[in-house]
Amino acid sequence: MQASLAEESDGDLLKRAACGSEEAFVTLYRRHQGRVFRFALRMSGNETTAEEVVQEVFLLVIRGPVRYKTARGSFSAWLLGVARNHVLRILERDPRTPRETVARDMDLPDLSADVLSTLLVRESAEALRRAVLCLPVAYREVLALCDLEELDYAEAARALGCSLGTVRSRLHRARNLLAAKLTADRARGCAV
Amino acid sequence: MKEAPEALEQKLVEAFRRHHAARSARGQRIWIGVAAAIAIAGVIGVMSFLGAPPQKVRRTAAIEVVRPAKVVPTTAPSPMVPVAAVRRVHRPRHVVPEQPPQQEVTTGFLPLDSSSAPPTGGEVIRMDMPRSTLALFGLPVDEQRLSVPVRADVLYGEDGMAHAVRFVTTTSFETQTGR
Repeated sequence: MQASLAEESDGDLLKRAACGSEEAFVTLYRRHQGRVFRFALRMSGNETTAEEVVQEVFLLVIRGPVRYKTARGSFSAWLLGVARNHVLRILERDPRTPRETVARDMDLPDLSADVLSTLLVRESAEALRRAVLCLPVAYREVLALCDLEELDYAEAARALGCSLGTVRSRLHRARNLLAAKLTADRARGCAV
Repeated sequence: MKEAPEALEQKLVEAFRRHHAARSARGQRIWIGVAAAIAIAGVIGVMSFLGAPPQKVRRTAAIEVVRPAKVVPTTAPSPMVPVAAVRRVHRPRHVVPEQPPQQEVTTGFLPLDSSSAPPTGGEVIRMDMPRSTLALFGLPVDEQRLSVPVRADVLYGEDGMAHAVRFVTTTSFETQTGR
């Protein structure tokens, strides 16, 4: 039974869960909770907040799975979109959240994805986590979805509720910002 | 790769169970209501199909015996016996506000003809007469109310002749009892 459920699509599992199948719900939860948790953690930098977000997202699935429309994209993107809304709400309440945005004409090195990958390999996970958390929310979320959770652009656009072009441009800028931040941190570390 | 703690899964599974238990209970209540409504509609349908023709409500005119108000003779009782009138009265459609009880005060029947034998049957008819008629019978007349007619019961015999008359005046019960 468990094996067959694991092969089922998200849509079918959702229908079963809506009819009261606990196994279907558990399968869905196990399939998606990790991604939602990591996204919330990268956005908030706080495990308790990430846990709260996961709980809220899956409570929504329990109470009203019909809100998800298959035609609007993958279930995963829908979940991440819901998670994002919760995270933003929590961040708005948190006074420590950086609210400044990066000026468009800010002087940043134009790095390609390959250069960023090289930088990421060199950095420790902790340094990367800190650098991502320093990014403005709009860039942090697109980076978390596309580069860290490996969603494709179209799915990220659905999760964020914006156009594909916006995702591309924000991602480009987020990478540049992150690379600049990591380079600056490393230079500061060497100087010390 | 980081994941949500296992305790959270258990918490959500419990929430899932609670939600669906409540939902199924709610669903049962709805179905019971629907079944009851269908049953009632069915019973009404069967009754209207098999039942007797609808009963018509007949309205009958109420026949009411109007008893004359309590008569307090002020003079010596007359040998003539008043006849209670039986009238067909239509019920008023609206509710008339209750008036304080009134009491009629009458004279005795005063004979109109010289025949000594009282009529054996007949009918009493109430009518208004000129107040000056009182003087014909030696009764006092209020000069200030001369234009106001006086109420009288006239006794007509079976021969169709008026045999006697008595005069009626009305006083409210409250006035009489001094309240």
